[in-house]
Amino acid sequence: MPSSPEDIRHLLRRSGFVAKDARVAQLAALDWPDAVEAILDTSASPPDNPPAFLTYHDDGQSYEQFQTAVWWWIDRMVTSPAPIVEKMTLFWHGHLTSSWSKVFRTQSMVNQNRFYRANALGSFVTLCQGMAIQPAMLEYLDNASNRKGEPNQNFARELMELFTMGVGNYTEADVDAAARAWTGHTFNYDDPNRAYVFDPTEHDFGNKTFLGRTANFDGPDIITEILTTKRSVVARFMANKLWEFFVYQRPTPATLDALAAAFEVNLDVKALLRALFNHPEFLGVPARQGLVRSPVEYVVAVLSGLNRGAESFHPEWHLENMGQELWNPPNVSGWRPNGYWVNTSAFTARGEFAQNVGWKLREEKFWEDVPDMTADAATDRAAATFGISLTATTRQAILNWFAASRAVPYQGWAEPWSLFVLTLLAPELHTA
Amino acid sequence: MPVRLHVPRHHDSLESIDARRLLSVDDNDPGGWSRRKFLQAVAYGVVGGVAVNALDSSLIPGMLPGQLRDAWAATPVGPTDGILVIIVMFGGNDGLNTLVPYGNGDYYRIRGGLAIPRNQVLTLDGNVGLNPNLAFVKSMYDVGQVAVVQGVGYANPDRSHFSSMATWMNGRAGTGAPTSGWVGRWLDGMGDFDAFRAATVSTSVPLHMVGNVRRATGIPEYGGAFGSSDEEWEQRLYAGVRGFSAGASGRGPWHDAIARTERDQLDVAKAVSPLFTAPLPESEIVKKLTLAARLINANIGLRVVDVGWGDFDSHDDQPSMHPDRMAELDEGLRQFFTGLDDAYRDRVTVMTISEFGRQPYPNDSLGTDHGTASCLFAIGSGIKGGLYGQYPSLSGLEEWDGLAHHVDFRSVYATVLDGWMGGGADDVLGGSFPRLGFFKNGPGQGSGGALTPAPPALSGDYVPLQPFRLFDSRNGIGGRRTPLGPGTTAEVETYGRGGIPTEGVTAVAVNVTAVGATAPSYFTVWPAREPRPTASSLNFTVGQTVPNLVVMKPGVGGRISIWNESGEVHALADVVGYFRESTNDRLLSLQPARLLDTRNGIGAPKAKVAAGGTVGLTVTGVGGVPATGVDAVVLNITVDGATAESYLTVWPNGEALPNASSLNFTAGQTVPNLVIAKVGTGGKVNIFNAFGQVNMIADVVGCFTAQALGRHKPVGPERILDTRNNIYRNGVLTNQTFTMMVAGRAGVPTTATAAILNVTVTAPTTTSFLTVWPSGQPMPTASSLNYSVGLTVANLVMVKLGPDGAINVANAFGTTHLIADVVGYFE
Repeated sequence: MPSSPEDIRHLLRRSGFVAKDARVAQLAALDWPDAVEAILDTSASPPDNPPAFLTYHDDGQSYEQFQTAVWWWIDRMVTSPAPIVEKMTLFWHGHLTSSWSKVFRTQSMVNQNRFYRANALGSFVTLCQGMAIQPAMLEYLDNASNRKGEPNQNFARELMELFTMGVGNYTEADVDAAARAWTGHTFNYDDPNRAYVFDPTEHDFGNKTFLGRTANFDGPDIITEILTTKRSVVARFMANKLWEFFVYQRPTPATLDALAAAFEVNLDVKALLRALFNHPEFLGVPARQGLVRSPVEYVVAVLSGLNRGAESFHPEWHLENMGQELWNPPNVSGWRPNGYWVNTSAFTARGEFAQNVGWKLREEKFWEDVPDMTADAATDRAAATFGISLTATTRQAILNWFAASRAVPYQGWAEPWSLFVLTLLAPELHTA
Repeated sequence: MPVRLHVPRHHDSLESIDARRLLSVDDNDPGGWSRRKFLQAVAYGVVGGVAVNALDSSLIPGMLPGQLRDAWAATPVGPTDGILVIIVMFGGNDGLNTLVPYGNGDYYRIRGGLAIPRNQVLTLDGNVGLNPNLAFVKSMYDVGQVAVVQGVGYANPDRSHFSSMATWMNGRAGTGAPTSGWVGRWLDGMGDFDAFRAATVSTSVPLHMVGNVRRATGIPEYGGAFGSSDEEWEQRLYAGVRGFSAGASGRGPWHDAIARTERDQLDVAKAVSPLFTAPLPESEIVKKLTLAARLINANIGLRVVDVGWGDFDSHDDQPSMHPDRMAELDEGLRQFFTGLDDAYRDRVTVMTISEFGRQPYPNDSLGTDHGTASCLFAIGSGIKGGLYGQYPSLSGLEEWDGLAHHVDFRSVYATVLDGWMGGGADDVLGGSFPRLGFFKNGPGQGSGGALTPAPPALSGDYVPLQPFRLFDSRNGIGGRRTPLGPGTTAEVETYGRGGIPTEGVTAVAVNVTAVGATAPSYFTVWPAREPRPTASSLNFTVGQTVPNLVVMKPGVGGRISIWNESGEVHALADVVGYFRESTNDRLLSLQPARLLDTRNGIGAPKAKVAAGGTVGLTVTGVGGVPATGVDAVVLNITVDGATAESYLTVWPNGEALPNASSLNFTAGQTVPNLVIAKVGTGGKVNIFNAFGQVNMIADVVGCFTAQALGRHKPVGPERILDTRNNIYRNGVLTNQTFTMMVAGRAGVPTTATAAILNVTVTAPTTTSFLTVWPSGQPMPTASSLNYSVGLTVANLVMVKLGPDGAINVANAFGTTHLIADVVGYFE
């Protein structure tokens, strides 16, 4: 049975960034489970080849490298035919997080990003084991300086509190034990690539009691121990994380049960996502109304609608003022949703972005035919450009603006830019 | 084998800098406000007014981002309102090197190379002194305006940035993640609230500024131009954006919250953009504190301003960062107090907070790790300067030990809330904490204890009324039945009459008319029981009947005074509206447009209006007046060629003809008057002529609508032009046009969008008229003031200011002297 185009739009917006008509038509022909399978198919994801400029660290060009990395990733989000990969990479960036401002190396951040992309819908076991020894993480949560005798608890604590289980599922003694287990996992500060190394001279080979079991645990053993003995806790924790990322906040226990059951089997992320997008609640009203587009999602939606690259619009400037710097999550708990983005300060930045993109497009005579169009036709095209369906209120506001503008002589020159800014500020474009 | 090197930190550690963002509240679930939470809010006395719909969270004001109220015209800070500025030092400030225990040998033993040498300390007493970079703080301390609270912390301290800052910001005991902050809960309990009561200069609103139902407004530190343009075409765009929140979307609470936030953003941009025109310092906290002073000076009603910066997380190479932070703090405070307007000097307290101090023992990286108790400052003229609390002991400490706390940080909050912010500490903090007593007096009290002059400007929005006669000396209305003699003052009561409320009034609009003068004279109208200004409100000669609209702040008891200069004359006063705090209505000033001219058939047949005749005039959807949402229009009405002494009454269509006049005149006179007319049914106002036949001319110059942005502020009256006395220009004007600067003069700020002037023509050599219009615009077909040979005529003129803040003035024929007094402006 074909799926409703409206449902498919919702699926595309959440699993990726935007719903383009052609893709909607393609998927609407399928049964819902098949449509979900189609968006989970990562085979069309383009090869992950960042510009050469991002493959080494250059202290003298650190900002330029950061900037290039923003453009590179935003462009992937805008253009990838398998946007779920980029969306999940964004999720991992915010969940198993590291920040450029502490790592201070675009190269390390990009390598971490590529690792997340490669495993975006893969095994959570692989993701955890791999992220722990990514140079970005070693630097960000201080495992690089975690040495025998004076262990640093930073990574050990966040691994349990924020990455896998949540508070209440481990003790302070478990944190101590995990910190000891992770001693010696570091990199060589002289290595320009800061590649991961294990330094046995700094590793604590003693017995540790972790989650009730005593053994000579090494760092990776800690992850294995968590993911086996606490598997159902982890499954539920991650089910909640992903539901809140894709659907709405605070899912019911029953919803979490269903998702956790799918994930617990072998901690396969794709299985969890399959359960999530196929869950009846995903198509309910709370789900459709449950999320605000984060600044990155908003910028990507705009650039997708325009079919433009990031570079000339400098999203890195605007994202910072909107409150979400790519590569710079605010802290180890990542970004927060919804109300975090909705305040007058952050929306000043969204308004500025709309204005500036509008000015840039004006140079290209974008929508210069608006003054020759009827208000209705121009409004329809504006909404279609960004794949949004306008509410009666928004539509009336735009039509009222047209009427006011056209009541004054010689205002046609202002119409393309003004309509563009109005469209970019339509609330429809800011909800996910 | 890897080689261990010292880990360099090229960059501020975001782990701590971004505690500010980490602690921003996420409104996870806009629709799911639980009953429990609601009941908590009720316990704070916030939402009683909406109890009927109590469980419909969407009806609770301030719950979601985006204010539910349209009104953004906060009442200004009252004369005894305290203002609090909070400086958050993110990352954990090293208290030991901020308030240095230079008299304690243990400090030098423990701190070693990180200790501040005795001879550099700015000593406060024999034991402690300030960091050498805090010279300004020291100077404030020396004049008794700094309370230094020592040993501040809390029991069972948590050394995580996140947890500890969350504890500080929450300010309430309890388990689980905090969902509200102490300042936010204080806002919850405020009597009146709007989005200009509390502000955070940041990209997000931190936890301490978010309550259960109210939150501070985010102000971008970079300014942000979106929303602040005065260009008409951009104003139209903004009106479009405002339209997004015109109705419920049906797309859920987040959609609606976004639409409201966009509308609020435009209001914020409009209000704060002028604050960014002067250059701001580069350094983050200096910039934010400079901005804080400007925000307070702007008198938009702010009671709390929150700023913060870092990084104080001095794990590595502390000497390379902590002195800089101290110097930044000192410079920021210096700029703040330098920039603060005198009116606020006795109304502001600044306090610092940080999530924890550092460990006494340095680590092996020339830094200090996360500690526990620390010190903080409370600064301001209301402070009883000195040392409070107790310096934590340094004896017997081992490596990794933190300092003991002697003062719970909530004691500091309680002291500030009850001592400066009007109370509520126990409710806000969920318990009673000992007050520290570091205020020597309350807000607004100078050193002598007397109230210092209150913040100046009044602001408000216009409420049109059906015209009502307040005073008529011919028949005893208002308590007087005899004419005003020379040098005589009549007081007119306004409050509680004709629809004027008894409180919350910032200005009244009263049409004052002089009738039957026995000598050439003038009226001065001003707030009662205040010194009489040197300005004329209306001028008249023998036998003339002359009206003028006066917009002014009422004086004591809501009275206005009318003073007559010479001869005897009757006075009439009709109220047509008032300005009040916090309404929707704003002035939209317009390029003048002629809506009615019975001399040539504009708006009505080409014929004089007969005795008892009424002209119905459509005033919406014409001349730039919006078609909908208009509550009142501002018309300049002129009569010409009257065949008998008479008067006009302008009133809303659909209501009964009131006993009041908008314009009085004698036969043959050409008389103008500015009229603020409430719009009646069908978007119409009616104009009634009492006697004889007369031509009517009406120009629309503005309207009041929720869509517009101008807030009225009365000033003066102050003379800005007098061609007789070389004020602005000298000598008679001969049928000429000139441009006069208004913004930046006589209390009119450069941000003003329109001005109200009382313009007087004296000794004209011919019958002529005056046109006043915005600079940079073509001269409109409209008159502001019509006059005949030799007569002195005044009229209130409301005029939009050009982009440069100037207006054009043209007299059509002959020569004349011109006088202009500013009485108010809109911005």
